[in-house]
Amino acid sequence: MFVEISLFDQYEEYLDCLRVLFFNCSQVTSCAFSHRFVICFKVNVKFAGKMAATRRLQKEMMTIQQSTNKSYRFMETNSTNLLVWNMLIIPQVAPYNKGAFKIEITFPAEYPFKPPKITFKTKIYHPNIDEKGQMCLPIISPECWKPATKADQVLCDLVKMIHEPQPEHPLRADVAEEYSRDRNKFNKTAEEFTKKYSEKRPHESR
Amino acid sequence: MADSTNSFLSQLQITVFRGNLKSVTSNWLFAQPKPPDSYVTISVDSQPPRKTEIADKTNNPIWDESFTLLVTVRSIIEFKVFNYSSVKADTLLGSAKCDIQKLLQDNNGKLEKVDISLTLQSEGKSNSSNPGELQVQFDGLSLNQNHVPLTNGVADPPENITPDPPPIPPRVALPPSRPDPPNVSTSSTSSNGLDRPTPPPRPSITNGETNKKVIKLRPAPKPPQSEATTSNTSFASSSHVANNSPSTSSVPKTNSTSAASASSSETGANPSQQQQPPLPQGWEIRMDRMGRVYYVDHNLKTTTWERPEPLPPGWERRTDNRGRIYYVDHNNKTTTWQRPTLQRVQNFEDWRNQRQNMQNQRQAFNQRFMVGTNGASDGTPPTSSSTQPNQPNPPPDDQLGSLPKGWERRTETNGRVYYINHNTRTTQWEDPRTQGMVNEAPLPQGWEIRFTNAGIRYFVNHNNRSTTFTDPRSGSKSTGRAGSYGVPIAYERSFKWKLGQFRYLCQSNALPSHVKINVTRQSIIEDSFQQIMHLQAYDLRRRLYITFKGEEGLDYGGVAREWFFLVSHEVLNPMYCLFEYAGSTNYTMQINPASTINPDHIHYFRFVGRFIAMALYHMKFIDTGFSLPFYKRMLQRKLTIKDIESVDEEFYNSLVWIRDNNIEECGLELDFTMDFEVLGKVDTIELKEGGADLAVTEENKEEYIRLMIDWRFSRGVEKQTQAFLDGFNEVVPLQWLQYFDERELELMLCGMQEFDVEDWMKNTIYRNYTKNSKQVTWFWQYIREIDNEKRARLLQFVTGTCRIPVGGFAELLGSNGPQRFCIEKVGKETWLPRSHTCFNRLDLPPYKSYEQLKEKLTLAIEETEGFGQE
Repeated sequence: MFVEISLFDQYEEYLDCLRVLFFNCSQVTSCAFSHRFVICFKVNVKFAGKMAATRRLQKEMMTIQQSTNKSYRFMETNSTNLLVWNMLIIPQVAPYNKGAFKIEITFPAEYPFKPPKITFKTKIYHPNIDEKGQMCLPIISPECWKPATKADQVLCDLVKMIHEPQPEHPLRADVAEEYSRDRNKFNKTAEEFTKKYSEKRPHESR
Repeated sequence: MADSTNSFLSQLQITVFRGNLKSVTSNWLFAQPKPPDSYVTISVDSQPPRKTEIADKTNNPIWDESFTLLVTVRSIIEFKVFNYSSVKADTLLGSAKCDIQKLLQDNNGKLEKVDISLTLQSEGKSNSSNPGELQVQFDGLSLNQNHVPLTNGVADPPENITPDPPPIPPRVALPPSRPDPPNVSTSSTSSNGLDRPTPPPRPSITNGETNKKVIKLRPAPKPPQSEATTSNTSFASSSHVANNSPSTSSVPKTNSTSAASASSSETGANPSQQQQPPLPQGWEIRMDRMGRVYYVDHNLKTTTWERPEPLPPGWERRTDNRGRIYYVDHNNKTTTWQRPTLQRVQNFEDWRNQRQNMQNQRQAFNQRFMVGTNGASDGTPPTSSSTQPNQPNPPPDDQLGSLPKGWERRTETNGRVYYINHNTRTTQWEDPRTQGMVNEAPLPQGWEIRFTNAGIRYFVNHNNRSTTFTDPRSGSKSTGRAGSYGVPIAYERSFKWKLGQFRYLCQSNALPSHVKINVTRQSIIEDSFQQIMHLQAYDLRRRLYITFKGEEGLDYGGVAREWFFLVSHEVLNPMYCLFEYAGSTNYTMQINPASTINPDHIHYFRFVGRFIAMALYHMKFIDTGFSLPFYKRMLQRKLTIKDIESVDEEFYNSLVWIRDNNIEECGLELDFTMDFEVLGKVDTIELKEGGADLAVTEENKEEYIRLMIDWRFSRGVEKQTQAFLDGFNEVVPLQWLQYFDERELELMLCGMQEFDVEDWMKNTIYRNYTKNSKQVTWFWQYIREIDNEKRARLLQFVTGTCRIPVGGFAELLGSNGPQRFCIEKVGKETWLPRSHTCFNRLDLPPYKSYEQLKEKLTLAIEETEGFGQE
């Protein structure tokens, strides 16, 4: 699941490392220490090892795949890096219902003792989601997190937040203000954003 | 007189500068007196003379020639001035004699650049005329004290009371293998009586500059900035250092009499002792051949260089079974070889007061120290080497099992049992098996723990003067009212008591002399690491002498304090990857599981362990503290779910949720395994054997939680922690700490959280305000009104830390070293207060009223965390 490469081994691997370093920074942990330069980076490989959270995550993944909720689905159903889920959010409500949004759910190694983190990979014009794709979702906040909380509940909450923005707890104050004061203008901008940046909606297969 | 058996030759350099000679009248008729062609001869003890060049025809000849001669103490040096004649024999103009012994007496036993003007005597008939003078200089005579024959001299004491001067300096060359300070035999203990002169022991300082030691005064008074804490932790060792320090040996040379010089240098250095009290009964003041003052105690037939003072109150003089004299301090129940002087006791008091100040207790005295003043002396455990061969002792028939590895139980000659820790080369009275292991609750008021000769613990009730073997604590649970740390006051007192125990252990295991650590600021970690790891661990218990390369100055504690600060600051810096913040809201440190990226990390942790132990041992303060669970780990205390809260709230919440809810209803899918990610690598461990196949249920979740707590604190850091503890234990045995709990340990290492507003006020400076400005008055009014937590936040707002140094506000540090708390008038009344944590400065606008000031300050420290900081 994780590969550790010493730079002195092979040049090709070195380049690979750098590619990962520069283009996929969030997944790379790098450490320079004196003359030894070691890069550890995560690669999506078939999960073989048995982790403590495995059973739970597999079960949650199955629940989601079997879910009838049309608003989210796995991008790749065979994604088996259990700690990182790439998913697609398919809002059913305007102004976002013309596109789909990629998100990444990262589970910490200590899951379910620590909550997962969600990042939007697709740009979205929303009072509660900032330019970097970060958001404040109460259900996965450190204060509210419970080990019993499941990923599908989290996703439901997320979809609900997209459908119903909460301008009282904004992450982008300007968008929140626009949402409260001039809904039409907000809707228009959000629609434009959706058209411009969002993913193609999958065919309704279910 | 100068018989060959005891005449040791020493080098003496004589420079003949110039003369002032009368003109000579030749025997020829009608000859006018004319300036002589003069030269000088020097001869030692009638040996063949050395000659200068001839100075032609002058009344003021300048020769400026140096001769190196071999002389003894008894030598007589004769200078003769001749008039050269090319025709006939040279004529003697005049001569002068010098007695080396006399010169030495006049110059404190050494001749270093001593200028002398010699009046020439003319020989024979014309002795009415004064032939002139000669300017010479004596230099470089450093007589070894051993070589001074002890026959009668100028002072003319009768033969039978020629003193046996105590050996000077005291023997300090202690073999490093000896674990205990009592081996440091000092001057006052070796007595051979007064009747027979015996050569004193050879001074054992090895630097060869014996002349430095000829003059011995009382130990130099500590320089004002000297840190009493360090110098007093080990009386014996520190005073040696003081004796050899330059300040003592460089006695004013110009004094004509040694008595005067001795007293003048004393008074000069220590005005407080100008008025010397009369000698105690049976004492006599004498002067040896060198003119040095010493003191004869006719009561005990001993001599000493130090002026006798009556023992300070509470002290007693005793003789051990080997005839050595030691001193018992009943006040603190300690012993020392060193004769206590008021000065030392004062230093010790200062040290202790400082400690008490740290705890911010209003009580002037620690009750526990006072309890049992009349009790038996609690001497230092004997050294392992001094014990009689009645070892190895058969283990006592107790139920505690065998001693820990490396420990040995021995019995002193008087039957008292003590314990040797061969691992750390220390000794102690306490049984390592029981010490600290028992959860030591404080004793009730008026009680004391003592030990029988067999080492069995018993309890003294001073309230009704009875003793018992029954622990008075086991029955009643006394919980007094809470003190300043939120714990019962009795408990706080017990901290002082424990601290006293710890200091006692440190003191009794102190080693003499000092250890030098020389570092560059740029590479302080590397330098310190190399040197500390290069030294034997027990060497680190010697007095520290720390220097920064290129920065002159003696280490009276200030440099050491800075060193501890800088090294702790650096080594705990998360950038080094050895330690990390224990939590996001928490500025305490814990071991970083990712430290493995440094291939040498284990060595470094050992170093940090040694370093932290040194800080405790030498009573220094480190910059950043460790997390409480880390201290608990050091103390081998059980970690609880509460401990997780202080470092990882999310994890804690989840654990609590699991504990408080029925987990079987909600599909947690937990088993007895756990994942942990270090540097992107996830490791899965089983919390117990077969844990992967063992689901967590309502029945076993208690065990699961317990295992999780241990795992949470040990994950990824087991080896590092062990290395740290090993390093620590080498310097300060961990047993010594087990009296303490983790908060006390933090307090000892990092300072306190309690606020002494008086101390704060006293150590605050003002800019553009004065002490009496309205706003300043209001500020202190505000400080007095708010509680400790708010004070801490305010302090944190201004200084960046809520910790106060052990020494109180006076030792507050800024980014450039000591930096007092500062209040500066800045801005307008509408502004919020701002702070500059680098400079411990609060920018306080000139508010118009107390209410306004209160409102703004409260806002600054509460509502806007980090607001207005720079």
